[in-house]
Amino acid sequence: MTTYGFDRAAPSEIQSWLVERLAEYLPDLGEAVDPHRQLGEYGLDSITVVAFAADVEEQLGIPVDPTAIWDYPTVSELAGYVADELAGRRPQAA
Amino acid sequence: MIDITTRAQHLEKLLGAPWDAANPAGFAAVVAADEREETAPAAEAVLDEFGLLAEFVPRALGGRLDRIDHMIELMRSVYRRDPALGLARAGQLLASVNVWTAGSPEQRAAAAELLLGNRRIACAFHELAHGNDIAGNEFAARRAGSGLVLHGRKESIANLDLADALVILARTDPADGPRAHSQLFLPAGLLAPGQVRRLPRFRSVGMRGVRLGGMEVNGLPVPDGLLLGAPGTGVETASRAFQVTRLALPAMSTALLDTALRVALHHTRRRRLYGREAADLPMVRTTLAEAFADLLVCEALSRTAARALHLCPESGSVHAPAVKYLVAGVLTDAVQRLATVMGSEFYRRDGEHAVFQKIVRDVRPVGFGHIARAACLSALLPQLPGLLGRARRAPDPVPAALFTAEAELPEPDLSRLRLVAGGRDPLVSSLGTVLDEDLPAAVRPLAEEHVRGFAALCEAGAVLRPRQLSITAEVPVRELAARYTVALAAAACLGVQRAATAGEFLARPEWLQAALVRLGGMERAVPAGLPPAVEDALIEELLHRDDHNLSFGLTGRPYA
Repeated sequence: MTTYGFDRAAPSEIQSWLVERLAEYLPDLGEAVDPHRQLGEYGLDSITVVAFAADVEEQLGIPVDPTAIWDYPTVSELAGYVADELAGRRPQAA
Repeated sequence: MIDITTRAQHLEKLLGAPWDAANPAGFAAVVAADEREETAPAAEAVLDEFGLLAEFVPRALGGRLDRIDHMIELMRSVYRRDPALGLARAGQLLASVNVWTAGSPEQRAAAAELLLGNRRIACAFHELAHGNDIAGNEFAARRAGSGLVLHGRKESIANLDLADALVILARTDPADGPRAHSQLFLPAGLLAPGQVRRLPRFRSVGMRGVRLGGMEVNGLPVPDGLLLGAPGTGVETASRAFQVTRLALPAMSTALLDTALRVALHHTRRRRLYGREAADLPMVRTTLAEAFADLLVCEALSRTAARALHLCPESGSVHAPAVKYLVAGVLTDAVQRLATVMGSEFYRRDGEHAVFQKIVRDVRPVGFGHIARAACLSALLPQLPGLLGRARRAPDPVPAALFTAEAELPEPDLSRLRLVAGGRDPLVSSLGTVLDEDLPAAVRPLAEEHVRGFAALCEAGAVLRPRQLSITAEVPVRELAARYTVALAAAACLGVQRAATAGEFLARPEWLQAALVRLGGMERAVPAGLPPAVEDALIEELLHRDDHNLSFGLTGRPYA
């Protein structure tokens, strides 16, 4: 089941969606998430990274390991990764 | 390949009769060694003769590890006599699973050769300042030319002084983040005394025979080729590989409860109080029966989860912390309650029951060693929304081999372990269809209660907010993760009973009733009593096994 309400083919829409989704995990954030800032700088702990990865996987129906967030540690980079995964441009993760 | 029954019988024979005071590997020798903060030398020699460490080496590398459930079962023979003896050997598993998971062919072959030659590989991860937060580790491996230079401290490393090699977690990137660490597989001969200061041995309350050392390293140059896996993958490798050990070590520890129960029976069947055998007093009977049920619960969950590592390895990230959390808690509580029926005898350091006070101390580290129970709940929590959501919508099919007594399993493939389960948990899913099964009448209401409990948990999961899932999660939210472990255990017990061979004790409904009552009490935090007929059936089986020297767990194997 996929519940996203955006164009899967458009990385910019994926990015906006990720920004909104991530805000749910950052209760004290007074501003919008900067897509080019390292997620670690927002105080996203290792437990929350697992939850966020599981959430993105669940919502988009593609495998998203926490390692994807480790390797693409800004929303902008992660959006690129997700777009490639959605478009099937990447070999399936082992 | 020698089957598990033959291997277990051979090891039992080598270890000898536990109560025989003249047996250098029996309880008396084990207690005497514990007083010296050692393990019994004769028992160590037996394990070398048997080639115990080959049980941790995959078959492809010349060892005997082809089934994790069998490896656990075999180790219980060691843990039943002396948990410290067992843990000191199982420590090699901590190091080697990382090598099996991420090592090059040469590194894997080298590690296998060491273990097959009865030599040790220590796992040097722990830093006191960082506890279970391994991503905070500071021990550094800095690049210098074509090699690395090591700096820092590692504490509480089991068998450091006996080790021929070490697996070390080191920071290879000064910036924070999950890619900042790498693992090294290092021959102990490289630890040059000029750059490595050995720290004094840690002394401990329990597991006193396990030698806990430490080291302070100051500018030790090592070759670059010692890296285990790609740079930056140290935490990832550990997070995957340790799924095996976080499950296997508590699973081996169920043997502590076997021994505690055996000693309590030994004592209460011989002691006369108020004109009868102490074992006949209602409070004593109830305590013994409940401890037996608790042991069966722990083994049902851990056996099923061990098989799941073969059959659906992607669920390991859920099952490993769940086993650790539930099994460690149940074992600790059960041993404590048995201490109450031992009376003053539990406090003695001499006499034939002295091994009991050792078990009371040795069981404590099961709750925090390798990973703390609290950290296990933290690991489960972020996966709960996905797991509970999927269990409601699209339960995963259950592989029959999870439960069947003589299941055929594929060899374990550690490369298929993932950091998250993607919501998939076939074990918990099996609760979804359990009421469609042909359940014994006495079991059905209890099964219904657990199915309702799980449905309520799914409802609670559906309203969890993302920001409730972090390391700062509140106690009532963390309780949901604890309830998930109870659901897993109930599913395992139901499956084990359903798949048992007709006529066997495990096929009878009574133990399952007892198990589900005990688990129901855990979920509600209010213990309920066992029905009298159930208690009678458990006590009858327990006395039978005690009289015939059989182990008290799921398998009831001959105990030398």
